[in-house]
Amino acid sequence: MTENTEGRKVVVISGGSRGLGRGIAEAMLNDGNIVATFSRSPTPFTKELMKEGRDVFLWEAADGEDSEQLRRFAGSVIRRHGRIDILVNNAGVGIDGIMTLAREADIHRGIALNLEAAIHLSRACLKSMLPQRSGCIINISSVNAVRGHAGVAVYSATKAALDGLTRSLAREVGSEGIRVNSVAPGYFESDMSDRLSEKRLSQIIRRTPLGRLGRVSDIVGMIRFLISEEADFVTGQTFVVDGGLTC
Amino acid sequence: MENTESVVHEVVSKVAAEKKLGPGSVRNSRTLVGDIGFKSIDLARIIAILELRLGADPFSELVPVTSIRTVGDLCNAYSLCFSKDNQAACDVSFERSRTRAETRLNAAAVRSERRKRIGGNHGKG
Repeated sequence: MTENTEGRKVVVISGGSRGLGRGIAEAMLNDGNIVATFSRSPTPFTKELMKEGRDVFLWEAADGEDSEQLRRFAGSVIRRHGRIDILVNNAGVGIDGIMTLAREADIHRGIALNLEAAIHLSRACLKSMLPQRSGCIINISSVNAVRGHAGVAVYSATKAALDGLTRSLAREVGSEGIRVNSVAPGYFESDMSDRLSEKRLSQIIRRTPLGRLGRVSDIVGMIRFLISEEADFVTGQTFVVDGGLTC
Repeated sequence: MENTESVVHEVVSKVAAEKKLGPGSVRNSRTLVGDIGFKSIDLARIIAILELRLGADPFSELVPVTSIRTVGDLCNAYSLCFSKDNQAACDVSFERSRTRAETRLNAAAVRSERRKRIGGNHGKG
């Protein structure tokens, strides 16, 4: 028996247990939506929400590298809430270092988590969106898909591929009222930027016209717009949120 | 359990009506693209609706979706699903899916161990 969504949107977020994904999940919950996310193991954030017994938050264990587990997770959401309205493909992993020195295992894992997982999860969620003839998919890309940077070649490849997926999938499903867009964050306050040196961070800020690092709230703001009715005529696009770094 | 053929006909008719496609009743002999006028995305939608209605997906393992030309082909694919020998291959229920997931998780663990042995560490994230 599906739970009554009472007009709320059902939002699936990959990697919603921490970092940017957690910020997106919190924003969606604050906006009155139902949020479903997964990770290989629970985090304090997911444990707290599950402990509260809120019927608007679902977390399950699932490995983003396993297409069957992703399909099963999407099926759980559909069985519980009867629908999926929004998918945010946020889960991803950094792959740093000169490409010729990269470990093959890291390359495979990066492609699996950053690209293949988004494809498999999109396929699974479209099984609900297509019958509904409505839905919205947001792919979290990166400025590294827009401009090249040394040391992130494979990561850039996966994010650029995600933007290609956005464009073609938007064409495929647009006739069914389903929109697909990418959001490409620049450098923002996160676990990833915490690993950069002070010198590197200063250099980035100096080269950013708006003079600061991004915040999770900056990216969430763009996502809120893209999933709203105000973006009803927007699909197949990549929106860069980087303070002007790449302009 | 609803009659499979009647469900398939109902869903095909409904989607054809929504798309304002040509007149004519839905018969097993009619081709989905040539006669009725569906596009690929329409077929994807029909299959998604049928998966929700019938709880079965014959195209994941049993039948290549490229072999589907007529309404009858579609009916046959789902009927094949419900034959005793093929139910496991088509079942999209949670229990079957969980069993498959556990099998794949074990396989993934084996692959992970192999990667570690050849010098792979997990990437940063």
